[in-house]
Amino acid sequence: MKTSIKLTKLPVDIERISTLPARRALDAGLVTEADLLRLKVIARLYARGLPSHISWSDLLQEAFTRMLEGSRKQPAGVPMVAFLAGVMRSIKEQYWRQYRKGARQRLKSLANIGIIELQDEELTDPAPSPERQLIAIEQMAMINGLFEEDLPARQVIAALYDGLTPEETCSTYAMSTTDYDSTRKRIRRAIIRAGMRFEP
Amino acid sequence: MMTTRSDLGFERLLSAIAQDLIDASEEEILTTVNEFGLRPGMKGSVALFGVTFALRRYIHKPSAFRTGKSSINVGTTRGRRRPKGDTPSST
Repeated sequence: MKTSIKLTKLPVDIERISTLPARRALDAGLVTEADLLRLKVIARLYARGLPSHISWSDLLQEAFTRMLEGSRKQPAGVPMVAFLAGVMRSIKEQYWRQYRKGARQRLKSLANIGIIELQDEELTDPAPSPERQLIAIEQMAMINGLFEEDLPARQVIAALYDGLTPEETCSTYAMSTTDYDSTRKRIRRAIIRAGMRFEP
Repeated sequence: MMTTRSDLGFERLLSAIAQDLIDASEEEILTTVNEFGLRPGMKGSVALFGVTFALRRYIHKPSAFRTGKSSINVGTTRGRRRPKGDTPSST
């Protein structure tokens, strides 16, 4: 027997659980669409430092989730975009800490059943995982690839990578302050464009 | 010659660029997005795809950062089983 049920008003809870956290934040007036565009680009940037099975959308939505559920609170005086960018960064670091912890536990388990021999220093080695280092190397190549025809941009990127100040960068690469600033702006725009590319 | 550990250098670069993005004016962000052919203010624009809307299979997949039954259902965990014939809510 066919029955027809008309739902003229979705229960609030069903609406809530099927709406992305960023959408809920937008609807609540906590962020603007311009903020969300900026955060999308930042999320796509930060996600470059994560394994490929973790999407930038996961990172972004998790940051909004933690803000909405109250586990991360916006400090006074910190703008929402800067706050959420910080949350995304800390989520990323948390992921790698748990990844390393898991890797060490697996090593210990293998050692306990005699498959491998483990030295004590292997468990306390502060070096990052090979996967994280490999991701960094690959992503650096991809970012540099965005500026194949732009040597000053690649120089500034190398300087940022090495932690040089703007003054040190200008001195190292015989660059004027004006050229340095305009190069940073070009890099920023290219990253924004890269962050807006459609991804299904 | 300075040798920078790859992950540290990369994170420094990401942080510097992210700070530039945070500091950039709204006008610059919107102008660059518009130059790319996206019109964020238009209905149906894909500019916020993955942010305020996504393919249904991505809405109801478990978050990569949450595992186990203790996850709070805030829209990134596995959705309820939908009765046959029930129309999906808009994304």
